[in-house]
Parts: sequence; C-alpha cells; structure tokens
Amino acid sequence: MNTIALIAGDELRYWRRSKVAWTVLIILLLVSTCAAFVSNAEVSLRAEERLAQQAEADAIFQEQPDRHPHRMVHYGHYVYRTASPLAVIDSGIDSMVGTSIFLEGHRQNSATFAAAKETGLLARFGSFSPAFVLQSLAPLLLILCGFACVGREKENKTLYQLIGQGVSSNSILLGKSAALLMVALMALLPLILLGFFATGSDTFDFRQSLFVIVLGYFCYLAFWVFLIVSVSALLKTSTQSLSVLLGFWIIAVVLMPRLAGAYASTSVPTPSHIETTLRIAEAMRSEGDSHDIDDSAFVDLRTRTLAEYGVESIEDLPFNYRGFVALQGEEADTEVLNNFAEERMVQELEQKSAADQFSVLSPIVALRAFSMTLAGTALQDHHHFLRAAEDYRYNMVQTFNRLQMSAMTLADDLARNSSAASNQRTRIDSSNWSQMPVFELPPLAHEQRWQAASLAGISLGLWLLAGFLLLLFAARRLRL
Amino acid sequence: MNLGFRLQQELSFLLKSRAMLGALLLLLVVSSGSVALGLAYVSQEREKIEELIVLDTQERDYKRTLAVDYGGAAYDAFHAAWNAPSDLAFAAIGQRDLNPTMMRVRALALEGQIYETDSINPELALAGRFDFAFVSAYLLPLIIIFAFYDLFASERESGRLNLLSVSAQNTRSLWVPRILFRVLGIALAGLVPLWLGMLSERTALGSAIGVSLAVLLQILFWTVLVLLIASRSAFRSETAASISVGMWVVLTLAIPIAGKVYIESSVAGIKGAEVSLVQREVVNDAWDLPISDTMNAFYASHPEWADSPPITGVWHWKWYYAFQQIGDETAAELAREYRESIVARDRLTAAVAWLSPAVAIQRRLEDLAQTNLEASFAFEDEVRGYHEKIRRAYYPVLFREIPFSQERLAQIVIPDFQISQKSGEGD
Repeated sequence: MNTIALIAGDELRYWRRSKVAWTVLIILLLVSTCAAFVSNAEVSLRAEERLAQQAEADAIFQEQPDRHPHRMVHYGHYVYRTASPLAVIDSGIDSMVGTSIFLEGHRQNSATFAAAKETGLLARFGSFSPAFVLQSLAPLLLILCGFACVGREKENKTLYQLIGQGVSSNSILLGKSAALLMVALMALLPLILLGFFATGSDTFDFRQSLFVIVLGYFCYLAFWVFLIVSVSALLKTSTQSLSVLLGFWIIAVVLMPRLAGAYASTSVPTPSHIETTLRIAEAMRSEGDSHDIDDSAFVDLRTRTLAEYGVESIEDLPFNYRGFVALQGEEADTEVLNNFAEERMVQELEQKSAADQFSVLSPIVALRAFSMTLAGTALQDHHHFLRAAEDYRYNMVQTFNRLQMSAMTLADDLARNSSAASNQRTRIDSSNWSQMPVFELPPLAHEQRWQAASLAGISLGLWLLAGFLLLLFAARRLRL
Repeated sequence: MNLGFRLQQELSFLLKSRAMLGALLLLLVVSSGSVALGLAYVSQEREKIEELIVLDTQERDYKRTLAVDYGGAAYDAFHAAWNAPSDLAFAAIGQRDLNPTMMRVRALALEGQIYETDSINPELALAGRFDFAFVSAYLLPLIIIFAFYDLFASERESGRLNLLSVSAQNTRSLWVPRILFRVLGIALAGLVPLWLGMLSERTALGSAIGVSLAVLLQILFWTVLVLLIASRSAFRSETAASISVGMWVVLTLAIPIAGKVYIESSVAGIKGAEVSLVQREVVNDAWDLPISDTMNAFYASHPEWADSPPITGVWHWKWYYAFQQIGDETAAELAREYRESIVARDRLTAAVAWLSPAVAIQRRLEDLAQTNLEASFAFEDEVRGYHEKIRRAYYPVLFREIPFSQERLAQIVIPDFQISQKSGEGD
C-alpha cells in the first residue's frame, strides 16, 4: 500500500514538472468548474422562464369570461414542462424536446418549440454541462496526461530499476492509476458540489440519485485510467500508446454514440407524426363526431341511455344529452389517441434499447444512459410529461363536458346559435375556470428511474472490471 | 533520386505503415457508413412523403363525402405540404429532423398549425446525426492529426532525420511526396464514398463540386495547421499530438459550445409559444365580441368581400373564417419577430463559423444540401402561400353565400402542393 502511494506521489511530482501534463490538468479542472457555473445559470434561467410562462398561461386561462363550457374545451390550455433538479449536471434531452403542449378537446397535440430548434446548428455540438465535460473531454485529457506514465519509465530505463528493487509490477501500475484517479476525482468535484446544491431535503431522492450518478462517473473514469495505464505498460513506445489511446477515444467517444443513434433509428423505423395523425383520423371515423348528437355512431348510445332512464326522448333525460354525448365521445376518442400515443412511446423505447446495445462497444453509451436516466432528463421523463399532460387534458375536458351536461338544458344548448337568450343561458360562470387545479408535474418515481438505469449501471460495472483485468494482465506482462 | 522513384518509395512506405493504413481504413469505413445511413434516411423520408400523399388524399376525399356545408367541408379538408429531401440531403441531414418537412394545413388560422413538428426520438437526436457532414467536421481533422503529428518528430526521434536530409537533394523533395500521398489517401478515403452516394442520388454537378471543394478546404486547413505544429523542432511527437488534439477540442467543441452559450444569452426573448398563444386569444376572444366587430375588421382589410350579405344570426361560417384570418393577422407581427430572432441567432452562428472550421463546413454542406435554416424558412413560406390558396378557394362560396351542393363543392379544386422555386429550376 505504501509503495502504491509512493509511486502515485512520484507521478504527481513528475506532472508538476512537465509543462504539458500540468497544462492539461489545469484545463481539465478549469473546464469542469466553468461547466458547472454555466450549466447552473442556463438551467435555472430556463426553469424560471418556463415557470413564468406557465403562470401566464394559468392566469389567462382563469381570467376567461362566462362561456359555453364546450368553448373552453376548444379554447384549451397550455402546460409547460419543468426540468428535474439534476438537469444542472446533465440536461439530457431537455433541449431536444418541446417545452409546451397545447391541450384541447378531441386531440393530443405534440410538445412544440424545442430549444434546439430555436438555437439552430450549434445546438448539435453538445452542451456545456458537467456531464458533457466528464463524458467526452475528461477521458481525452486523462489520455494526454497519462499516456506515457509507464512508457516513460521504460524509455528512461527506470522501470527495471524499480522492479529490480523489489517493487511489484502490480504496485507500479496501481500507483500510476492512483495518481490519474486523483485527477479524475478532482474533475468530478464540481459536478458533486453542483448536484448537492441543486438538491435539497424536498428533493431527497434526487440527492440519493446524485450519489449513484457520481459512482457511475467514477466507474467510467476509473475504466479510462486503467485502460491508459495498461496500454502505456503494454506497448513499446509512448508514441504508440498515444496513437492507440487516441484511436480508441475517437471510436468510443466520438463515433459510437452517433452510430448507436443512427443504427437505432434505421433498424426500428417510426412513422412520421403526420402519418400517425392520419391513421388516428382513419381509426376515429367509426367513433363519430361528438358535436353532432344525430351522428349515426351514437344511435346505440341513445337507445341504451333512453332505456336506462326509462324515458321516451332525449329531452326528458335529467341532464343535457349533448353534454353526455360530448363526454362519451371524448372517452372513446381518448382511448384511440392513447393507444397510438402508447404505441409511439413503445417504439421510442425500443429505439432506445437498440441504441443502448452499443454499451457493449463503448462505455460512454452506457454512462450517458445511466446519467440521464438517474438525473431525470431521459426519454422516459419526457414520456412521463406527455402522460401527465394527457391526464390533465382529459380531466379538464371531461370536467367541462360534465358542466355542459348539468348546467344547461338541451333546448338551450341546441338553440345557442340561433337565439341570443339561449346563447346567454348556455354561458356558465367564469369561476368554473379559475377553480381548475393548475398543472403540476411531480418527477418520475425514484424506483422507476433506478430500475431503468440498472442495466446501464451493470454495463458500467463490467467496463470497470474489464479495465481492472486488463491492468492485472499488463502487470503480469511487465514482470516477464 | 528522381521524382518517380521517390513517389514509388513513399507509396510503399505508406502501405507499410500499419497505423496510417488503419487510420485510412477507419475513415473509409466511417465515411461509407455515413453515406449509406444518409441514403437510407432520405429514402425513408421519400417513402414517408409518398405514403403521406396517398393517405392525405384518401382522408380528404372521404371527409368531402360527408360535407353538408362549405364551412364544414373546409374545416375538415387538410392539405398535405412536403419538403422533399434534395439530391444532397443524404450528406448533410442538417436541421431537417427538428424542422417540419411534412405538414397538413387547413383554412383555419395558420399560426396555430405551422409550428407542429415531426415527432423525433429525443434521445437519439441528442447524440447527433451520423451523416457525412459529421464525418467531415469531426473525424476528418482527427485523422489528419493522426497522419501528420509525428511526421517530422518520428524521423528525428529515431535519428534518421539527418541521414534523410543528407541523402535527399533538398528537404522539399523529401517531405512533399510523403505529405502529398497522405493527403491524397485521406481525401480519397473520405470523398470516394461521398462521390458514390452522389452518383446514386444523381446530385447536380454544381453541388457535387461545391461539397468536394469544401471537404478539400477542410483537409487543407487541418493539414497546414498540424504541419505547423509538428514542424516545430522543439516539440516531441507527443507534445505535437497533445497540442493538435487540443486545437481540435478548441475548434470543434469549445468554440461552437461557447458560441451557443453566447448566442442563447445574447438573443434572448424567443417566445415561439407566445405566437400561438396570441393567435389563440384573438380567435377565441372573437366568440365573445359582437359579430359585426369582427366582420368590420375583416372587411376593412379584405374589401373584396365587403359586399357580402350581413349576418343576422349568432353564428355563420364566414364569421368563423373571418376571425381565424384576423387571428393570423394579429399574430403576424409576433410571428415575424419570432422568425427574426431565429435568423439573428443564425447570423451569429455564421460569425462563429469564422472561428470554427467544424461549424463552417457543416453550414456550407447544409447550405448546399438545402437542409439549413434558410431552406426550412423557404419551405415555411411555401406553406404560407399554399395556405393562402386554400383559404381563397373557399372564400367565394362562403362570402357569396352560395347554396351548398356536392356538385358545387366538387368544383373547388385545390391543386396539390408544389414548391414553386424548385419547379422553376427544373424548367
């Protein structure tokens, strides 16, 4: 143990003297600290904007005058997505998905106005977040720092002196690794602090997630450290080590994530939004138009309802039959819409798991999934928002349909477009709008996030194990 | 030593250098892969468009058979518009995934319809596209670094440099063939797959030359940069590599991301959602205003319909369409501001391109492939024009209050969507 510490200390002293290594170290720490500040500012600004927009939309909605309730069904409401507290360390898909959805009767709109669309081309170059720095840049800078850590000793012939003095090759490689790991830990520090400040007692489960996320990043960086030290020990010259390590970095970090995405979208094709809309329209043909109580699709409903209440005509029902048809129609429409929406989400999750298969080829694919999922900024969180918005939409619309059923007579409702007096009587009090509960988006349950991240977590563990085994193998080779 | 011999010698060096061959092979494979995936993407898009046209016509025809009045017929009649991928789109898919390439519009307020986007899988989009533009912006410079960082230092460190300098007539004849061969290898490995892709897409010669030149310029820039670093005799090969990779990080990652942060903070106030909110307010407020208010406002800006008979009841389709149009006209200013803020961001992006070759080549390729912001706005304008046509087709029967008949409805024919500019080019 003592020798490991000695070797590590020696390596750190060497970096201190070497200009390149020292520069690289400083850049890594500087960049990861800056990323923490920038990301924090960006994410909190975005969160404030959305809160303000939601408050504005709520205020406008509640201020609406007395109206026919079905007008409010079409007037609709806007809801905004709130980001998870850990978006500051990994903003994940936040900029790629729409921030708001317009909720109205008879249809499910998609989330529109994604930040990436409004930023344009540069949005594709990544975001300056602690996650990006640690996933992509940190391995590169660790390579530049450590590619010669063993090769140098070989070239200076100091390695065999060490071995000759009875220092085990395991200790040498572990010592070198310990030095690099210290650098990695320092780079992790800004993420840990930022995540800690972003979560509090009210978001305690996110603080627990943070702990696991940090563990994931540590596994990832430790893998890179072991890889760097092993390659440096295995290859003849430092230049060779550098070439191999850079090549691996290019393939694993630059190429693989994109290749995974391209593979997934080609192998699991999804229909376009419009195609789905058209298929929905086709499926809804049999549902009938719930604005029209004489639509042939509602003949059955009318007979059943009349029989149930034992009356002869819809005028004799104890409620406004028009509102009743709207209620039933919305229920049937929503079932069709939900089927399509769920099918879409399943396809997207299939694409995601197709892309996640590349975890076997590159540790960054595993880490990205792990980090986003636990931070609450992954695909499933977007789906969670879509489902919550849909629940809210359905409850809102059905509340208004029930009001239409109970607050006016069928005769007035039918005459609302021909008689001014009926029109006045079908307008219900505006207090009904201000009493609508506002949209709230509680984050996805803790267990669901952990469960979804477990597979990626296992592959990160396996990568770490592979790195460690490689290190042991390199140590054996060094002895021979 | 004559030149022919030197060239032969260098070729055999190149073929013997496993690292260099490996790098070239990687570039070739990745470039081919990006072209193949790009081609698959555009052919999927074209299929989707074909399918859209069929489904769209079916749905519209079906809805027409149900029509009982013109207003209702127009309400139900969506018309498809599409922006087919260009002959170079496979190489730079650009902004096509986030901006709509297909939409369906009807005679209602357009501002409520035009911002619908296609559904993308955000997690896949986040990783970025694996297209040729990516290969040329990211991978190409790395391969060049790989090829040249130890060009001089390896010979110097192995002690051969002096020997080589003595035996060569001049240093130029020593290095020039070696550099040329490597550049040629890189250019061919990168471009040949692209050329094959362009052949299969029958890309216009102008774009083909444009994109090849852009790639060659990118190769030239990086070769010169890396050679400048590598030729500093004070640098060991590892130092040269570290500095070159550092330059890559700065030019390809740091500057674009810093630019993004700057642009997002300096051109704030993008309120896309507000445009559709305003449009909705105007459209909905109309229901609570006296009908004559809306009609007078509408007739003031559209005097051609002012002689339409007055509305007596509390509801009329022409009133409905009038307030839809007023909704668009009220939101028009905000919509313009929204677009201008995006254009302002794009202008700043163009400035960032001067600092980052990666941004520059992506912009150039997206420009040539018509997959950039400008192209998506051009498409939006086409859709706006088409929407106007749809409106105008229904206004005569609505405002002249022509009695409804299926025969008269059948006379309202709206031609299929066509991009005017593109058909103009074909003539």
